[in-house]
Amino acid sequence: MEEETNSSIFARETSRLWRAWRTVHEMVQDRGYELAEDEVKISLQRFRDEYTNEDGSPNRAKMQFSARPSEAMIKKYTPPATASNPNPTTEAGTIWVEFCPEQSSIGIGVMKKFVGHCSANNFKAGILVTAMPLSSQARKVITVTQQYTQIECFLEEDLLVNITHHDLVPKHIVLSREEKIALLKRYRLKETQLPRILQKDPIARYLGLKRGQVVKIIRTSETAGRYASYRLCV
Amino acid sequence: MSGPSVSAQAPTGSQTPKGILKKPKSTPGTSAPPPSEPTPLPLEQQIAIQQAKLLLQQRGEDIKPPVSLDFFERLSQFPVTRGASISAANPSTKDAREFIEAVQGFLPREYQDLIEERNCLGNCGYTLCPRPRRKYTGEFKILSSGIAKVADLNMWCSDDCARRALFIKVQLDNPSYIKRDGQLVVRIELDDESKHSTRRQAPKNGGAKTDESELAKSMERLEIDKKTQTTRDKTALAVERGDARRPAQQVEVTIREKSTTAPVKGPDQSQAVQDGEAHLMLEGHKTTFGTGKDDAGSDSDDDEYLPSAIRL
Ligand SMILES: [Zn+2]
Repeated sequence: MEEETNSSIFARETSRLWRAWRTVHEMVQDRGYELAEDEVKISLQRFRDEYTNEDGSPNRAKMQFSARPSEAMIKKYTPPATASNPNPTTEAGTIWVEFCPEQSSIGIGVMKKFVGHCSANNFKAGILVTAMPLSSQARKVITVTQQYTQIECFLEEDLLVNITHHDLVPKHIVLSREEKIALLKRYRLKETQLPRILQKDPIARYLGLKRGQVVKIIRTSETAGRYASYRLCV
Repeated sequence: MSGPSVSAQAPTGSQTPKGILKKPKSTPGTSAPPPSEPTPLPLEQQIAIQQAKLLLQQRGEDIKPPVSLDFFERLSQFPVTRGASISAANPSTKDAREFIEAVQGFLPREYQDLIEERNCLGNCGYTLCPRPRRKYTGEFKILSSGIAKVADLNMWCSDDCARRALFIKVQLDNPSYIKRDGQLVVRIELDDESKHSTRRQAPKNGGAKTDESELAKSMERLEIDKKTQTTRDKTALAVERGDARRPAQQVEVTIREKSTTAPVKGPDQSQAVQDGEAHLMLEGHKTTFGTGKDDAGSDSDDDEYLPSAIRL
């Protein structure tokens, strides 16, 4: 009896994690990193085979991967060449994603270890998926180290569904720096005159928007057809 | 945004930013600023500079540097000295002193963070307690004293530690200050353990006495707080007004009467009386409620707001 309830709890947790695992893969892919299609569209059966222990409990310590930026992404995040800097280097780099096995709130220690791992292996960005929320001081670790490594944290719970797949969420496209300049020029705007999107907005978090980036939002409307609007991330 | 908006007048050399108010008729041409005087900064720029200076000043005065992460890391693993004789009620003097000195520089918020940080590691929230915190499951728990949130209970190893931590928190929330190395710091004391052990045995009577001295103590604290609070309020107000920066600058106020062009007369009611609407008039004006039924002609801009779909 006892064993049966245990295994059903494990099964539920595994299927939750499988969904979060898929969403985080889709997210990384949507941001422009290279991932093989069969890695992204992993079946529950295969996920169970690879990431659970013998007793059926999920093995979060094994759930981690890295991804390299695609050609298009490298190009998008390369600042335009100037006279003083004729060969600019791209800002895009390898990303590291890890599920945190910690089952209580995430403190400074856990966070420092993750940041340390990212910087020691020269990852430009890191995503930590946690079961429990971060302590406020752990959050501070992220802001302090932000200039070296871009760290983001997601709750498993927030990744159970991919919000961008929802019918009512329009398509969001991040503009490159040139595209942003061209947009402002075309409409004779200062960037502060654009409508805004908060950095903590779920979509902004999904796309990993940074302050100052502009996102193009394409909506389809029955009466107006397709139309685009732009938002500045603040 | 539609087309390039070329202004009719050719831009003159000494152009000041255009205001939204209409210009008096006489100005164009005649009132170019004298070239000898250095042109003052435009008004909005002046205001911006003033604001920035104010912010700088405020930052210098108000914000104390946040407690560094290392402090949190160290205190979250407290106590350093552990042993059979060490407990939350009887901590080692060295640890107790270090804890007090550290927490004197804390904001209430930061003390809360410390408790959170200790809980992350599974420790009791009270910094000098070597025991792990409680780990009840569920959302609520029934106690002899009532119902409590499990999340609140799980912060501590016992109710005694909750009391000890609260005692520190209260002192941070309503600080009274003492001098340490020439600097004002918050006075922090550990809760008197002997008091609690006796109080629990001796009921009401003994308790009332200690409560009285407690009251006197807190009254004294309140008095000091009031004094520091008023000076703090005063400086804050001065900074907000910008007085601290420019002590004796006053604003000049000129009152100008509007010239009248015609003799004053009351609103004309004769038309309304004729229409039988005199009872609806207020100061010669009939109030409408935007229904647009009666006066579609006069209020025609109403339908401009109708979406096209409805108009068709
Ligand atoms: Zn304790």
